[in-house]
Amino acid sequence: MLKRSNFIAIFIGTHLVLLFLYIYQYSRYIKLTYTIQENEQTKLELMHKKQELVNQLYIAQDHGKVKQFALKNLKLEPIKLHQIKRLKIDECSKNL
Amino acid sequence: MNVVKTYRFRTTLIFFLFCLLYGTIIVKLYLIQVKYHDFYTTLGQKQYNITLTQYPPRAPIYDRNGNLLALNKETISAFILPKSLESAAPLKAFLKKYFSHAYERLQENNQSYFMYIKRRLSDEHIKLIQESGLTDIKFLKEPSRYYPIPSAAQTVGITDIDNQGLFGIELQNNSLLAGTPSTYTLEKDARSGHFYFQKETKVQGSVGQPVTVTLDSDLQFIVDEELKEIISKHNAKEGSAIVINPTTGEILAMTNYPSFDPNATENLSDLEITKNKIITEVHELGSVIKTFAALSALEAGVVTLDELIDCENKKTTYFEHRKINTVAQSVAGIIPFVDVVVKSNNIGIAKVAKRLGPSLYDYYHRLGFGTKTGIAFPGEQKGFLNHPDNWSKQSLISLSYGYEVSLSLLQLARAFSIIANDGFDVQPYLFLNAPTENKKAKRLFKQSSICAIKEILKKRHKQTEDYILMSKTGTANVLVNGIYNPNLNIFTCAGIIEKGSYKRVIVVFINEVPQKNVYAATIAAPLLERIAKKLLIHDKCI
Repeated sequence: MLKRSNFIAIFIGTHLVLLFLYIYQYSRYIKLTYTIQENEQTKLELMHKKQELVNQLYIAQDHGKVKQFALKNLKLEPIKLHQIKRLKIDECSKNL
Repeated sequence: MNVVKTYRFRTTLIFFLFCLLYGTIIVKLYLIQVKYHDFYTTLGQKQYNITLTQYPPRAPIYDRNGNLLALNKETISAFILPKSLESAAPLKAFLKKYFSHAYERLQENNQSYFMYIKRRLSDEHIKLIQESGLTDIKFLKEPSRYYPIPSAAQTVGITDIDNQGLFGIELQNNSLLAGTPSTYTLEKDARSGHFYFQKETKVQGSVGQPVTVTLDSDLQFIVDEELKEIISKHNAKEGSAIVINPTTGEILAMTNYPSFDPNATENLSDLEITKNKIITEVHELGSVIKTFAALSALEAGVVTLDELIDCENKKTTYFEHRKINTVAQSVAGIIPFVDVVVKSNNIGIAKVAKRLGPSLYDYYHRLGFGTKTGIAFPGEQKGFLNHPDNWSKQSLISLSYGYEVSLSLLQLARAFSIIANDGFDVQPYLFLNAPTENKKAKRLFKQSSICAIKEILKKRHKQTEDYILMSKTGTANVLVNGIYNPNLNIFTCAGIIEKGSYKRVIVVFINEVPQKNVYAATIAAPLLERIAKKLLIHDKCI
């Protein structure tokens, strides 16, 4: 049997430890919550950056600009219907 | 003795002082915890609990190939907090010089908490404000839209300054694209900026749903370029073009001129050019309607292709006391019915239409004239088809060559799609996942009538091995103040291109050219042929 003083000391000590663990658990939870929010913020910023890059990609792929580049810089000409011929497989193998 | 008495007095005094002190504390505790409990609870919640409403990003709009037609971008807006300005005088001077509207609003509401200076700032304005060094002006980011395919602007539409759809697909599917906001309650402390301890969802919203349309953005560009070239060549006032797959009803390209830049709408003054006139405007289209008068006559069995019709070899005649005019180029004598339509002779077609009588109305109604197509697009016009109860003695004659009936280009495209689809009904649509009724399509015209009308339409063109092109042109006077103006014309050409199972319907429309004595055969028909050839190349159908 424990002495009365020892019992009181163990009782109080156990409760202090439990209190400490509770506070520790809660502060860890807060930290993790902060980390999640930081990551969400980072994710949002990255999504915005991605959106900006997609916008720039579409600006660069503008049909009018591509056509002008092809006509002026590359000196290409629009293809005409009579310039296209569909080759059958037999013809291809003959040519090879 | 005196020392003991003094000692007792002091201890008693100190005792009562402490009792008073602790009593005050207990009373204060009672007041805070019990009596004013609700007040302090509410105050605390106001300080630590924040209600936040978050709007989901607006969903994009895709074309049939997954290319983006509308996507999100961020814009910068400038604002001030009038009630807590640090240096009001330089701010006011700056606003007066560069943002006069904002300056006037500030003069009127200088005690408000928040005031926009300008929303959706241009790069120049942002640079101007940054270089001013005024700390009272702050920036915030707001969502906006970017439209990579300007030629589809009248179909896709735009959003307003609050990113809500204004017209077109953006309006039609606004609630789907925008989603619904979510409301959260956040528990924060006094020092935290973005961070919170707890987050509770009060109202769970939904993300916006992307919309996929049937348009092909590459084809859209091709058709738009061809239209602009022809309009520029003839100095026309306006024009439109539409391409439909008649087998499914999918609209592949739809463009109007003049158009506008959906990414620069600050100086957009003429809202007329934002309309998708293919759907929202109707016209009396003239001779192109002869196609359907002929189809009706063939369906009713009142004429055959080779039956000889007396077109009287003159420009003007009187038929049952009604005057009928025909253009010089279409004057003919006794010719087969097929040539009556090919030559676009008004006298011949009127004589054949007379055999139909009021049933012509039923056939036109069957083709969808005078009723909306039901396309999911705001502002569709149903056009006008004069009911036989309201007919005058001229009505049947006028209806046979495209007057007293007005329809939109979409209705015309649908009618031609019925021919291309071998007489089965076609429901045009814009949204790729929309339910279509073409699988259970009703047969509206006999196969024999369709074959016959296709023979007529083929005759306009010299057919090649590569593809079959069928079309009909129409030149119509414009009605101005109740009178047809012979100097103002609209030019239409509607056609079908076929190669095996590949089929497309193309309708082109040009409005008012300055040249006199020109017809759709020289203006609209070449445009249709050019688009048809480009279509075959684009779709790899050679």
